Amino acid sequence: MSAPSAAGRQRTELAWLLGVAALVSAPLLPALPPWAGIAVAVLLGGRALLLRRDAAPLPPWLVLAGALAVLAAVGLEFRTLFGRGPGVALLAFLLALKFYEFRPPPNPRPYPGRDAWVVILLACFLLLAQFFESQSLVTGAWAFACCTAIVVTLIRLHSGGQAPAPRALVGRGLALALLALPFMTALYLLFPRIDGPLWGLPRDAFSGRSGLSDTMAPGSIAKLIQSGEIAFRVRFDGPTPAKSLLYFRGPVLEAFDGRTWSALPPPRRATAAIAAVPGQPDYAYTLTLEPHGNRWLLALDHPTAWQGDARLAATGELQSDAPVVKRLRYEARAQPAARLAADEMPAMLERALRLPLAIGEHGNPRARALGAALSQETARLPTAERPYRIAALLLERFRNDGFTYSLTPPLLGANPVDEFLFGTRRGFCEHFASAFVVVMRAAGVPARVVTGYQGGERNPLDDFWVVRQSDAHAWAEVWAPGDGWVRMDPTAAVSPARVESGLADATPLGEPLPPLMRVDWPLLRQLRYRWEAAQNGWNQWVLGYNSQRQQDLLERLGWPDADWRRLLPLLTAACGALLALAGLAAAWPGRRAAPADVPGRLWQSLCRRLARRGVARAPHEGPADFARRVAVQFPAWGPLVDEAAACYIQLRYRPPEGADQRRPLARLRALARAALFRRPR
Amino acid sequence: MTRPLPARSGFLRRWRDRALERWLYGRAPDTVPLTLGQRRIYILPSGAGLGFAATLATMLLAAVNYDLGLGYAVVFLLAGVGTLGMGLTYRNLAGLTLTAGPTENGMAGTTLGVVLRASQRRSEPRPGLGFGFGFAPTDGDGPTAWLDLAAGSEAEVVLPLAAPKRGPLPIPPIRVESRYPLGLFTAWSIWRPTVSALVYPAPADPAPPLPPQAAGSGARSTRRTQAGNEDFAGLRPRTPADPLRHVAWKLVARQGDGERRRSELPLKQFESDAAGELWLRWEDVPPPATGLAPEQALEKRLAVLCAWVLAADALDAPYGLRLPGTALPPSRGEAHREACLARLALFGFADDGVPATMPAPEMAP
Repeated sequence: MSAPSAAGRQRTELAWLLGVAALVSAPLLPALPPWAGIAVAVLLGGRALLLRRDAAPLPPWLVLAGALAVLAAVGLEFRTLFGRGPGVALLAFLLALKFYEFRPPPNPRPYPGRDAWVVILLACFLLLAQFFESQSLVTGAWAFACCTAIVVTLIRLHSGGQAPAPRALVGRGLALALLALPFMTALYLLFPRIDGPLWGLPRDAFSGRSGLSDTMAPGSIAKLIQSGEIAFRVRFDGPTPAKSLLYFRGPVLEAFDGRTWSALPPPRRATAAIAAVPGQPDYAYTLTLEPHGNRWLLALDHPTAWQGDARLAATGELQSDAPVVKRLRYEARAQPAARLAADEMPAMLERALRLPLAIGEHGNPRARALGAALSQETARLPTAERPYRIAALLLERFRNDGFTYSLTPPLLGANPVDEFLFGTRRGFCEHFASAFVVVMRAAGVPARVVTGYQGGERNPLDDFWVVRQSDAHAWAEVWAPGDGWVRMDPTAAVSPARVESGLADATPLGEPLPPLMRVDWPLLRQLRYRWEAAQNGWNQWVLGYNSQRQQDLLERLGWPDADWRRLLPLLTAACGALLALAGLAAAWPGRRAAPADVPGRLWQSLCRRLARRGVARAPHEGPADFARRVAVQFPAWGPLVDEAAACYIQLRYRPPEGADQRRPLARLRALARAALFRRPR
Repeated sequence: MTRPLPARSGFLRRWRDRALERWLYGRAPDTVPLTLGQRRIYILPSGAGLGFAATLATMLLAAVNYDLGLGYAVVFLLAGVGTLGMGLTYRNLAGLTLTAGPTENGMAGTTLGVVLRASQRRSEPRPGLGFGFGFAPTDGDGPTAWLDLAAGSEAEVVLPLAAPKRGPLPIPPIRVESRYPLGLFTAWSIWRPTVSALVYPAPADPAPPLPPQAAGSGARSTRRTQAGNEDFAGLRPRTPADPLRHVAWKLVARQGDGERRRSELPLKQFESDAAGELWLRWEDVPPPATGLAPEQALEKRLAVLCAWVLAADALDAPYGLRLPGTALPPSRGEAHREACLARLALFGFADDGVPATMPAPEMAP
């Protein structure tokens, strides 16, 4: 075997395996703790640099020491060694460290040894780890590329000393992966889907997602809107409400400590009464919620009907039984004009009036004084009108007293509401909502902060409304006797554009914005729509595929009530088809290698054709002998065979110096063809 | 007919090999040349393949537990690729044609080279073909020779085969295996070529000096010391056993085309040719030390004779070999040497290679 040297072989092997490791771990690096991501990248890169020097494997004790150090560091970082985060980090380190104790197999063989297989199998497993972070279209394409790279590497490592060119290798691996795609699709659709985990999920299974939370401090939503991530998608069945009505309610925050708003546990079993107003428009929609790990479901104000076993909390928000840990799709109806809790429980109203003590750090005394002043001013009005009047006065103040809407407000100190109202006057929606509610409460009007999303963007290609984290919003609700909770959006008073057309228009030029939102070229927007429509299709049909969807699909295909017993024949059929394909690959005859010499092949085929017509050349007969015998025995074929033999001999035995070999070759080809069709003369 | 299998330890292994042999050879008879087809190729997951399957199973569990849609997809994709790889591994062997090349003989205690010729007509290369002895891919240290067969080509491999003992050495079953392209499966096939090698006795070292030249035909008994310094005595037609270096090439060059016939090449004869004949005789071997078992004594004598044959061949003198019950008349050259060594190798074996009853050490010629 013309094998390259053992060192060269190992270098090639290592180079390919390092490539696979780099491809697989690249998407993981940003998700690891920064020091770990950098360390893994440095370990892999360093090994690649060492390749040129044929470095010997590190002594086992050093590798062991490194592994222990990593174990300790990961344990310190995560405070545990179990669960998703530390698991992924340890696997990534294991993969990188494995390259430092790589040993060539004991006897030279053209197959990868145990170390190489450990790397390959670890890489397969790490492929899975990147799906914890994202399962987008791009991730899917990347995973397919990684699988192909693994296959190509395996082919390369098993090709012995005659490895084909890289392009041919990639072609072969890609062909194999593409051939397996139908099987993958069939099993993906047919493999019984189980709802819920098999064993308890570690607590950190869904960490690290951005989204609303049940607390709000100055700056928390401003941070959130920097993310272009999609929060949910909505599709209206029938008419679409105006954009200014698109308030999707999330957590309602009632408790205030002077700086931070937080949600209070709602009274048990209590539910908000929503009274639909006859004659007012209502809207039906389907919402696909991205998992956020919390229990609230986003719903358009105010929900009048909804699908599934969600319940309406006393604060008017829809809540699910369990945290939303996978993409959730539900249908609901909403009537923006419906009345929310027109006769509210006194306990709830009392909660909506509480303020922290006026003394101390976060007392915000000036805001309280303002509230008291507004209360005095409106003391003579009837109770039903008072809340509206106070709110109108306050909003007027926001409008006229030089308040501006800004993504980068100045930092606030000890009494944030006072500083905002009477000092900086620059703020984001949470500043306005927070200050508004504090003043309203100080004026004796029950009020609370509602967080959620406002607006969204319609994708004209698939008619889905896309609502992003950048559409996160905070507004206020005020309780008026008889009308219940009424939405008041102080941000709209300052910057009507925020509600009418979105954040991009509301923010003054020069303010930092998520990159996707700033540039508004039609072409770019068109591309973005296309991309997001594709991604939405991917989400709806590929990732949101659960047991419910599986049932629907099978029912449409004519298999109602499909459980795993009914799926079994289908699964068997898919596996059988795959095995048949493998059998076909095994038994396919393939092309025969063409003999290198064309004259020989022509002469052979001429003889075969003559033999079929009864003029058989004996195995021992050379061309000249054959021609002589044919001339005697089969005179009708004489001239043809004679000329063919002469051409063949000329080609084979006496190539004239510099003579044109094409003429006898062409003649021989013509004669071979003639032997097939011509009648003997 | 049963052939002895390569020496192995363990009752279970022997039993397994017997059972395998019965099963395998009940299926497809050996032919020469042999083209590997469906009835001869066996395929099983390799160790790496089992590891791969276990990894995929774990990944599937993780995908179910964490509800990773893409996890399902990746697992099924890799499983599909692996299964297709099984077909391709089989394909790497199917249609391969094997023939045995000339097997070289050698001395006991050395390693012989068994020459195998593999050819194929397909227009795809077949990389990573491994050859070795034994029935199952796990036998021994795996294949001992590797071959990458280019498209539509043929190539030879030499398999090292240890020759521990003098006598005829049947070639054990030959295994050809492949894991290309993915290494998840091992496809293999077994072939027993109907050839065997001869193992000559290991030459004794140190060997006693050559016996004195007998007055063979009774004429002269001049002693020669060195080959090559004798006087030219004349020409005679060459016979196939004569060494080529004694052909009178200058004379051949002067001959015309018509006269030039290989079998009639003129051979230079030297004075010493006629000088005397050297007989290497069983009874001339100094009797080995007493206290040896008869078989050992026999082997000792054969070893001495072997050393003498080699020494006489090196002198380029004609020599004859006489063993109890058989004799080779004096001659010289490579073919004669091989014939003598073959007699020594087969001494005491019946024609079918089964050891016959040992002749008594002191048996008269």
